[in-house]
Amino acid sequence: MTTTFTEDAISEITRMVWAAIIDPSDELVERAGEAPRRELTGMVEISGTWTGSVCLGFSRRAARQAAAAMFGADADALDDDEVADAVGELVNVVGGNLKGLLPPPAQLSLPSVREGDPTTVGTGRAELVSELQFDWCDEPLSVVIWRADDAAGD
Amino acid sequence: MSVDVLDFQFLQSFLRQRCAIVLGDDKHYLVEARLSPIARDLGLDTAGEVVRTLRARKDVGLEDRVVEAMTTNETSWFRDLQPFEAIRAEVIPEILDRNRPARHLAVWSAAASTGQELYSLALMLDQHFPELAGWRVELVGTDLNSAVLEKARAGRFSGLEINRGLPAALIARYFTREGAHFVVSPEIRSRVRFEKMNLAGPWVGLPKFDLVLLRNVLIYFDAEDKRRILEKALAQLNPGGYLLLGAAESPYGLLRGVTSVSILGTTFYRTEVA
Amino acid sequence: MHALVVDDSRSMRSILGRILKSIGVEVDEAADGADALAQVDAGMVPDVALVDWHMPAMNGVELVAELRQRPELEHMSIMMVTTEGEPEQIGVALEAGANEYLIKPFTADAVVQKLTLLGKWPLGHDTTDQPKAGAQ
Repeated sequence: MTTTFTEDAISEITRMVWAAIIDPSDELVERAGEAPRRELTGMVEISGTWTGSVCLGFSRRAARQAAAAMFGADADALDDDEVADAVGELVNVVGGNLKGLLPPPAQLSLPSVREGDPTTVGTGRAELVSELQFDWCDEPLSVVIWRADDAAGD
Repeated sequence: MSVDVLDFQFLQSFLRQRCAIVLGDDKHYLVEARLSPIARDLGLDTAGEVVRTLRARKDVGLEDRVVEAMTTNETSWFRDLQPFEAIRAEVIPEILDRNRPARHLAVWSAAASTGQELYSLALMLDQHFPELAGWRVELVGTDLNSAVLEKARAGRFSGLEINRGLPAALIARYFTREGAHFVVSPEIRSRVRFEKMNLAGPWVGLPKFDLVLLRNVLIYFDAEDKRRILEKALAQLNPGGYLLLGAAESPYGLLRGVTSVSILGTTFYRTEVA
Repeated sequence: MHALVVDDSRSMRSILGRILKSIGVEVDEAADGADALAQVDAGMVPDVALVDWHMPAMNGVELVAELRQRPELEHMSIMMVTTEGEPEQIGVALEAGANEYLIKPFTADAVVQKLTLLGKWPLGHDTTDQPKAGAQ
């Protein structure tokens, strides 16, 4: 089941979401090596035939830039709630489309947004399935998928 | 912009000779957008370097890729909607009346791209004309670009593509989800065929058609090729058949002996009967 | 033309609102099902409602069913706008009373084309010829 979330599939979906929601000309570039610290994480949980969570990790500046594109506003003009809302909606759309790779039934939770890195927040007992890093506007962005431990046995 | 004046002129002349496609002087953005992915693939820095590679040496593989990249279009389902209403309400019923003795219907999507136009017709025929179940129905799509044809044959579309004008009821009825993609039902897929063909080259192995859709593709050709393509498209029609062009396109001024009929706001062309 | 955009995400309401306003549609927003119902019960009769599926308290399909209980909204079209993309789910939304369905993410031209399908927007606003660099 873990092979459902191949790097290709995650990359394709993330790029598609970025091209449609943020800006068709803003390229996400995959990066290798040590991930810089991400300061804001959006998360949605998936439950059903597969149970786990999808996280989007942003630097503070990347989150603000993404929110600016979504609100059609200047990055400096946005308050923290608006930035958090944008991060939440982005992880909702990325997570929802990743959920589409799984056999039904699968449910998507409402998104939550918190301070911190996607590899350390809110994971509980879970197994890291995939971590894909991008550079976007010279800022780090990552998609991290966790599988809940409860489901690890089946 | 990485493509300079000389690169651009070279590309214009290359596309003109290779596939009779006219690239307007204002299409710099298109070149950058379409060739940048090739640059990335080849480890080059810019679209301009792709053109300079093309200029520097004969590389048929690269030539093919550039042609394909430059001729790919975003296409939508039931594009412009109104022509499809006319086809459903008037054109197909009239053709069916005429062809009932032979029980044969042939339709050609002449710039098929990734297949949305031909599949739109196939879905419409299935939904509204159950009578056709006992007919020989030929739904043919052709395009210059083999990559888009491969995609058309697979009938696999992303969510972004599905969103472009495909009615929800048809998604629910005719599509299944495969991973991130939506796949049209095997039954619908079995009714269409897609083949590679250059409109500016020889037309081989095409039957006569009752309806030809030649939409938004003539813009890529110069006046002489336009005229020849239109002439051949009209000659490819069965008696009483219809030719549909893009909303802003017309054969007048290019061709004699053509007449038009307006159906529910859409203009169709046919050969003038002497 | 008047649209009501129902989505718990402000950023998504902003995106849809800008697309709709760019083609001259008047836009109101609701942050959830209760908010949407309060607005229509106060007399608003939009031409079209764009409804998210995943929202707190009342989900979008429940909201669609509620809206369809109101005879004064008989002529209002409803389009679901959601990440839910299973054809079966689309069937569920149509069954509940939705007329169209847009999957997130979407492009601006897709919104206009779906409104055209609903007969809510005059023909001839096909924007597919715009350059779509990188939006493969």
